[in-house]
Amino acid sequence: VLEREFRDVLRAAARGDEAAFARLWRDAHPPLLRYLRVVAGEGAEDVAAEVWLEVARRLARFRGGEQEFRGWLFTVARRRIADQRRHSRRHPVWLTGDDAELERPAADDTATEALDNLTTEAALALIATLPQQQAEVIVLRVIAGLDVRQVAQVTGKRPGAVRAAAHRGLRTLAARLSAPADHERGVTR
Amino acid sequence: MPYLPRIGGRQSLDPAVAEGLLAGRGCCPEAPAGPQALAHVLDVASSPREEELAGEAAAVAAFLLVTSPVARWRADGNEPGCAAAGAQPRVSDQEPGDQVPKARAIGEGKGGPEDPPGRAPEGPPWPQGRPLTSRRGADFRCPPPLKSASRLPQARHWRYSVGLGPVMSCPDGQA
Repeated sequence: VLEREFRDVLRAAARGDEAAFARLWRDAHPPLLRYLRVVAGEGAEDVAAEVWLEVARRLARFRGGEQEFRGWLFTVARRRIADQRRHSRRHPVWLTGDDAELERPAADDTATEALDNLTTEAALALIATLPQQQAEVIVLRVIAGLDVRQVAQVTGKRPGAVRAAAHRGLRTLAARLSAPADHERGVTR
Repeated sequence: MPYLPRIGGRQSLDPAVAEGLLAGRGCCPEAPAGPQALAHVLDVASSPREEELAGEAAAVAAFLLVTSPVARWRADGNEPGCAAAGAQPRVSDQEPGDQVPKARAIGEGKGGPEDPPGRAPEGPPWPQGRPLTSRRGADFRCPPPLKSASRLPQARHWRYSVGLGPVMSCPDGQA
C-alpha cells in the first residue's frame, strides 16, 4: 500500500514514468492475480495482463485516491473476466494430449517450492470452492483490501448483500475447516 | 441428522469475528478451532509472494508500448497512411508528369514537432505530384462492395479481388 506517496506515483505513471508504473504494479498485482485465480481460474495470468494493458492505456484519465484506484482495477478485471467467459462460451477449447507428459513436474521444481505453492494455492482453492458470489466478495474484502462500499461498487450489488455474502461464505469455510475429515471424505450435507 | 453439525459450525462464527477476519485483523487466540483455522487460511491467501512479481519486466514493457507517442496518437483515432486520402485529387485529374512521385526524406515536410510520427503533413500533401496509387490506369474505379454476407472488411475485399494486395489504397476514397 503506497498511501501518501500514491498521488505522486500515480501522477508520474500517468505522465509515462515506467518506474512509477512499476511501483503501482508491484503494489496491486499480487492481490489482482489472486482475485483472478479464484474467480477466473486457469486464465488468471492472461486476464491480469489484459487488465494492466487497459489500465496503462487509461491511466492518464483516472482521477482518485489509492482505494479508488484499487476499486477501478478490480472493476476492469471483473469486466475482463466477463469478456473471457463470453469468448470461451463461443469458442470452447478441448485439450488433448498425453497425460504422462502433462503431469511431468518441471525440472526446477523443488520440494520446498512445491510445498509453498501448495499452501497458498490450497488456501485460494478452498475459497474458490464457495459459491461464486461469496468467493468473489471474500477475496475482494480480504485480499484486495476493499471495504464494503467499494466491493458493492465493483460487483454492482447492494452493501447489505455484500455483507451477507461475505459472512455466509466465512461461516461455510469455518464449518468446513472445523470438520476437515468429513470434507476430505467427500461428505456433502 | 446429517445437517446439524453444519448448522452448528456456521453458528459458531460470531459476526464480530467475521468482520475482523474480513478486515484483516485475524481473530483472538481464545476463538474456536474453526475461526482460528479460517484466520490462518485467509492470512496465507493474502500474503504476497515473490514469484507473483515475476512478470514486472513484461508489464513495464507493455506499459511503455501503450504509452508511446505513436500509441497515443493511434488511440486518438488516427491511422497511419490514411490521414489525407480523402482530400487528395484523383489520379485522372493530374498532369501526366505529376504522376511520378519524388522521393522524400523521412521527416521532411511541414510536420512540426507536435505531429506524431507517421502522420501526413498538413497542407498540399504532394507538392511534387501525388504518387500513383494504381497500376491499372487513370480510369480505374473501385468496384462496388459485394452484396454477399462476407465478413471481410469491404476495403480488403476489393483490394484482394483485383489482385492488388494489402498495400493499395483507394484513389477516390470509395473504400
